[in-house]
Amino acid sequence: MTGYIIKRLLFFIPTLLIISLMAFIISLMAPGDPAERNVQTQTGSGYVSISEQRLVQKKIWRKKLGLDLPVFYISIQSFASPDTLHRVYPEGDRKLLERLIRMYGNWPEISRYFQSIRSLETASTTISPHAYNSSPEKAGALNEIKFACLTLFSAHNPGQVTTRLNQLQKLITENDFMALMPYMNNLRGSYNTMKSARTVYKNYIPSVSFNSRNQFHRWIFGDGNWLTGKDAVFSRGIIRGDFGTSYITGLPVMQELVPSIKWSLLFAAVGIVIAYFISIPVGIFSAASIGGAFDRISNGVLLMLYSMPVFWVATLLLLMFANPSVLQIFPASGVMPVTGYGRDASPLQIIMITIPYMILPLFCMIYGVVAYLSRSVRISMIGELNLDYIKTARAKGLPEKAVLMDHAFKNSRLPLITLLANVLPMSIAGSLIIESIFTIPGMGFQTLFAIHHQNYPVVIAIFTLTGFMSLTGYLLADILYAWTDPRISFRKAIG
Amino acid sequence: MQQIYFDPGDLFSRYTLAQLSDPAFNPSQHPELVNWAATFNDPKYGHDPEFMTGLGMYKITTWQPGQHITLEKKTDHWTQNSTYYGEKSLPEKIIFKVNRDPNSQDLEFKSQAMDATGSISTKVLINLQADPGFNRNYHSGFIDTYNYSYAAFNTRPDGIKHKKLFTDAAVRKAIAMLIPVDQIIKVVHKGKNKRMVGPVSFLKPEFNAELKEVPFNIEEGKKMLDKAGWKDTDGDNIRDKVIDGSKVQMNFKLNYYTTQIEWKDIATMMAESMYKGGIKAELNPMDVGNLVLAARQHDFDMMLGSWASSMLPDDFTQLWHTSSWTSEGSNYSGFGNAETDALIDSIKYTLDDNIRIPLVKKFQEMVYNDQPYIFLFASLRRVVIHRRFANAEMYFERPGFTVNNLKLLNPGSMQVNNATP
Repeated sequence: MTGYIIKRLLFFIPTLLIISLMAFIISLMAPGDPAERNVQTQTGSGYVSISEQRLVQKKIWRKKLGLDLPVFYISIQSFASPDTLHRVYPEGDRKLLERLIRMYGNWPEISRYFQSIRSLETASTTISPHAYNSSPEKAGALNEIKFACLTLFSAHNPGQVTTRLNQLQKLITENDFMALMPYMNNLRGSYNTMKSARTVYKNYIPSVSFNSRNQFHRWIFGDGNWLTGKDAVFSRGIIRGDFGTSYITGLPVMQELVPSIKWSLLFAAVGIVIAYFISIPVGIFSAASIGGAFDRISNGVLLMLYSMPVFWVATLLLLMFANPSVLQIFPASGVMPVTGYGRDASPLQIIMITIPYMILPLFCMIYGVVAYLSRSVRISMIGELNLDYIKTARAKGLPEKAVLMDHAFKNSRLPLITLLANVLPMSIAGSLIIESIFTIPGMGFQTLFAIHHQNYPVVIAIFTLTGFMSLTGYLLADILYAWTDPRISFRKAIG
Repeated sequence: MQQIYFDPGDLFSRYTLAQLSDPAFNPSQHPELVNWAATFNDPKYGHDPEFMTGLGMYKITTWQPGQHITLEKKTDHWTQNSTYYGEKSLPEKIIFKVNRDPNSQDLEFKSQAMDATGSISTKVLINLQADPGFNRNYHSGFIDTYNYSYAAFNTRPDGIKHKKLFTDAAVRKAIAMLIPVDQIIKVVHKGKNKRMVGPVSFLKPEFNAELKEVPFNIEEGKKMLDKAGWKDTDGDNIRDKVIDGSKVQMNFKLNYYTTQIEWKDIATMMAESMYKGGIKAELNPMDVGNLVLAARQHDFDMMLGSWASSMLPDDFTQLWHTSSWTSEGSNYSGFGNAETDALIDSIKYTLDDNIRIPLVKKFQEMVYNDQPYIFLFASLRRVVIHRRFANAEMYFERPGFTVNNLKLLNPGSMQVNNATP
């Protein structure tokens, strides 16, 4: 069995790699700028008033998040692109440069043109509009110049650029902004040079580079030693449980998730145990009395339970059992009293206090599972009870209880194991609807909240951890299958 | 924050403000500053009650994420013996409880498990107010606020990524006539919000009452669009116009927040109504960060948003001065010219209300005539306070009531109850 487990563990590695690669790709594709989101989290107000300060802060965050690195180990780009293009920030600037490279292919001239826009923009911002208080038209023209510069950072079409340049020239000349004239001439000159000295052919020559330090590597292994994690400054890598920081709270993602995992795990584990306690006897008894009153009634009830949507049942239960106008037996929300458990509460007292908070959500969590599991056990048992070895056992005069439990049920346990394997991923994924309705601070709500607020580090962490837990669950299930049913041979499974 | 909390080692006495604000100053050459910054920015100061100490009258003693936060009165706060009403802190303990489900909120108020809130939904409060038991036990109301929602036009698009759809004030006014604001308030907010006509709250003395609500009149809006040159020339039910030599269709993205379903409902109702006038708005849900970033960079056609204001006199610089447009500030729509800038500056520096108020009214008129926003509505805050408390006043300002002024009428017989944030 040890060899089998080792072999299965080895299969884990490529699967985990694929999961992490997918999670990484999703994080890259996520809309919005992670640096911007982190600046918003840190400033609290979601707004830093001065754009220059904001840009400086965003650059610091880009470095912290490793966004100034190439994306992957291998980069394939054109010979016309500089190998440091990925460092250009903001993203809009980089996109413009990429477009210009595709159009003209002469990086030094493109860079010069880009810098000349920046120079004119900077020069225009150094002139205070208050200097023209006596001339509102000039103050307005200065604003138009600044905006025309801004729009040049997103313009690549020659017709549009020329229109903008002409507009700038006119504004500067007509309003007598002589200080801006040299910058304007430089801008027009660099644009003309860029257009005339084009080397578009360079775009068709591929250039491959290997990047030992890249975003994917950093995401997996952190920014320190890849093996030991030593000297890590901003990230220790997901391999060491570092999924970055939450956009909303600024806390490390795992620190934010662990309390929620505990609650979801508690509900999942207790729920599964209760579900087993109910569904196994129901399934067995139903199979043993097939066609009888119990079988028919339980079938009807289970089918009805299975068909009922959970949000409806949860709301109904709330309105029935947490309603002062009907029956107020259970609390309407939360998992603990707001006043706490009391300083000297024993573990038993804590459990007793918590139970009322758990009953309604647990019922919602398990009724569908009970229905499914009971039916599975029943079908599985019916199949076994029709086999020859059961007839032989009965012919030998074995008591019916022994026939059912020691023979038939022993071979009908596979569906139970399959469900057990789902407990681990369930503890990470949580139950979105139930946790929202009952205000349970579990993973379901965390997931909903993270998706709703596009808190991608948390979403990616949940995605990766769920994948990991599913794999672990399947491994456990495989081992339990083999342990439960000797007919499942390790050798066959391996071979 | 007191120095003993943010700088217990008296580090900043060794630096002058001039030193720190000098562009040549390099903090990385001062490891003690780097260490201080790392400590200061540590998330524990925002999440761990042990490290969260402010200047207020209460201290956070427990924080169960997603469940509740408990505040307890400080025993040595300087306001302890104050007789001034605003400085009193009457409850010994305040518990802010999280409850996200409307049904559950309803039940918790019916069972009196909650004492107060300033943040339940309109629908929940309407349901609760229909229950005589609730009205017996609680004060409640829809309270005016200084906040308002709007739909902003990009009035100065670059003409490249965003076409010149809304550069003409007549077009903006015509579109404003296509928006069924009253219907939106009725359907989405159960009639519990109030219409806005300009950037100043009707609660303020500066409000220009002469400005009338833009009427909902699709036919009149269509005529105005026709007159402005926007006509459906190709029979596809979308208006178009030749701008800078090329045909442009009145087809654009309407950005709105994903935070609350109400935004989607508003955007949908607006888009449906505009379509009747030959305008196609594609719904574009965005998270707050991206929507605000796009707005600051003028990277939008039309967007929904809201502003929170206060009882203080308005300073219009942030939202309406042209300097806030060119510096990627909050003048998203590109409103303004030298005249409005001068007026904004004058309002800011005028203290005499006899002079200032007419200026503010004049400014509102200019905004109204330019219509850079379709001013939608001022939201009403939903406030509930249990009748067991005295001082249960409701205010226009957030959170709608003063928690620290609530006083138990009969403390001996009361159980501990909660407030929702």
